[in-house]
Amino acid sequence: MELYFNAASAISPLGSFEDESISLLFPDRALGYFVCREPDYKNTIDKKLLRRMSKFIKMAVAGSVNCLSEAGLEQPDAIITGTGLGCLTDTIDFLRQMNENAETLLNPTAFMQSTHNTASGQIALLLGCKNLNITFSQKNISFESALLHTKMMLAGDGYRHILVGGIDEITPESHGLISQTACIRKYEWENPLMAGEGAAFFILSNQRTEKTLARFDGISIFNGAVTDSSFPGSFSRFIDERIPDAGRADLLITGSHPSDEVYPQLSERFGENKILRFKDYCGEYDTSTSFALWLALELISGNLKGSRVSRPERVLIHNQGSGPCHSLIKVTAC
Amino acid sequence: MTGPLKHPINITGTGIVAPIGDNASACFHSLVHGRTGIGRIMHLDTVHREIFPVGEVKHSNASLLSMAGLDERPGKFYTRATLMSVIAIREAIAEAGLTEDELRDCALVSATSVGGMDKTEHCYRNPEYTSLDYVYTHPCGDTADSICDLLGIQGYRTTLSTACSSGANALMHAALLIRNGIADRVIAGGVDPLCLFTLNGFNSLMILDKEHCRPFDSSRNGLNLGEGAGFLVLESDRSVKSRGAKVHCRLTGFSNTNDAFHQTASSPNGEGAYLAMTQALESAGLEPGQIGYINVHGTGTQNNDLSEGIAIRRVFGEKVPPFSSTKSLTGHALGAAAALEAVFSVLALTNDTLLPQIGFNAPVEETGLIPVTRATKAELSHVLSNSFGFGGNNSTLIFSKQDGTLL
Repeated sequence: MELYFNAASAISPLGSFEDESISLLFPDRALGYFVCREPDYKNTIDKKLLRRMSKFIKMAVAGSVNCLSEAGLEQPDAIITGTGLGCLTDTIDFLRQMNENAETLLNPTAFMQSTHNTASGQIALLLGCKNLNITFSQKNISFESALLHTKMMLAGDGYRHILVGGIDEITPESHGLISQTACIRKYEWENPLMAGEGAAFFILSNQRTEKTLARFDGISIFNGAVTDSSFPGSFSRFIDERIPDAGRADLLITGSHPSDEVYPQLSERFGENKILRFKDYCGEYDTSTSFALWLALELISGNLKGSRVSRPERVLIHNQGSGPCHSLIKVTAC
Repeated sequence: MTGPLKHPINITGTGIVAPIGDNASACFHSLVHGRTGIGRIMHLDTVHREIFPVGEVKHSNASLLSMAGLDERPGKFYTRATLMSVIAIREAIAEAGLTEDELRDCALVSATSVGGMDKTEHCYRNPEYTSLDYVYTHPCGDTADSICDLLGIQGYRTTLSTACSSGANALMHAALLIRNGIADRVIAGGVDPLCLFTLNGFNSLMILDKEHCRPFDSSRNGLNLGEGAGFLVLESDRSVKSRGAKVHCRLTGFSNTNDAFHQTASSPNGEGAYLAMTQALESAGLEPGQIGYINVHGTGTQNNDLSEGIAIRRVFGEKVPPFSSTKSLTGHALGAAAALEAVFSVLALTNDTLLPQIGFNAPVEETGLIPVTRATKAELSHVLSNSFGFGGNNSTLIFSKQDGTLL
């Protein structure tokens, strides 16, 4: 069964769906981590609801609403999200209250909004959508798990258009902690990896429409540690075994950095001029693959300014991050 | 709406660590004798110790560590969730008879609502604790990665986090992996530790009972929190045949819907729960009358039990099958609850036993539903298990005997 991306909507350090055009320029690095250029949420979310929502929930709800409207859909057949760290603002807020008030007289709002499925639940609530609704949280393959589940649902009866997305937020406190650990791989490089955040939502469908952005050719998630030992020095060959024709892509969008073990092989296989290192634009976060997918669809559609790659036909997305797993996603213009 | 191609999802092993026992047979013994695991807090360091009873797993982390055959050294830091999971999964793989090689290729689908929160909150409130190890163990997905490392599982792993229905959704994802030919063997379940975060969270919502919880009773006044880990080995027919594995029963029906009513409360007409049960029955190709026992969500809150009761009446009418809430014995283990109750459902089915609950005196007036209060032998072909959660999540699973299913 052929599957298609019929809409894509992102909020990222490059800008949001509200911007008339987005340029592929390195975002400001002054803060030491990337933050999203957020839209004016009042245009998509009721002001009364907005007051209680964290950045995480706002990005997810606004991104979803915009994505559905781009696809011309009132309700998706399912809502499937991925997040590595969930609602950090609300989680930290409740932890702080608990400590400061010695476990007494706590306001429940932060707790109620702290579960990882708050975003998908809020989207369902806003849309009155009673269909399947789930959230994955598996570090750097949280979004990939959601996309895999979406693909499997679309193979079943009765599913046509599914809303799938990835969301992670950064807070000054979470950045402070993460930056002291090896959660962000540290390199000596012209653009060292920095932490980031973002939300990107898609309509994946088994029906091609006039709004179709690209065909979805496949997704593969695998344990990098295994790959290294079972396929020594042949990561690039391994790619072809996971997704047919993956190695023939005109563009590789990768989350690897030149100092990563697999990077030299990718560079040799694709050539530096066919590689786009997406974390230079969104930063490192667990669901950054969703940003990379949005980037791929925008490039295929010719919507991005300032890109040295113009309208690629076949794009391979590769990511690795905080966990042992790597992922591959392939999309093709159609 | 149903899943794709209905290849059977065989269950070949179960493992559990719960407040009522450290393995499946101990849990079954407690279940049939109505022996509760809920009591005074022993291990969690909280100001609420004397106030709220909980269903604690009766072991300190040090004792869990030794039960899991591990030792903690600098640089090796295990959360309670990881320890309980490793113990439960060891039991499940031993029962399924998986070899080391077979285990290596398994997929792992875990579920949790708070993951490593117990370590996070401990470090957070003890500023003298300067190690940042908890930054690594905090993410929900870290439990799954740690389990894989410790048990030598090298396949795909992921984690569902949909609050109190997480465990059920993990089993659904696992079933789809098998039906879509992505995995032949999946270890799936869920885990949640008791922690200050959830104890204080549910207290702030004022839905914790200071007495033992009384699900589906007219005097019910809230839930007791619980904890634990439950995992099942799910296999395709191909895998079962190739290794000659014994099939205990099958996962034949599943559904996930959303109540779309409120972030934390259930709708008055139980719409999401009604849809979950009807769609799960449809996916299994069953009529309501074929269900022999329901393991209800039954938290003991005013809201849940009324809403779930109304939904059950809508699905089953006057002929409601025998049902009970095993949370009356275990407490509510949140992200692990559905996984613990999946194991209990399998135990009920394979032992042809209706599991009793305790704490019941008088039915909820609006629904008049009376749960099973004594363990009863009954020929069971199909058992249904409900799990609902924050964010409007409603999930239903159906387990069937291998010869009792048409699929």
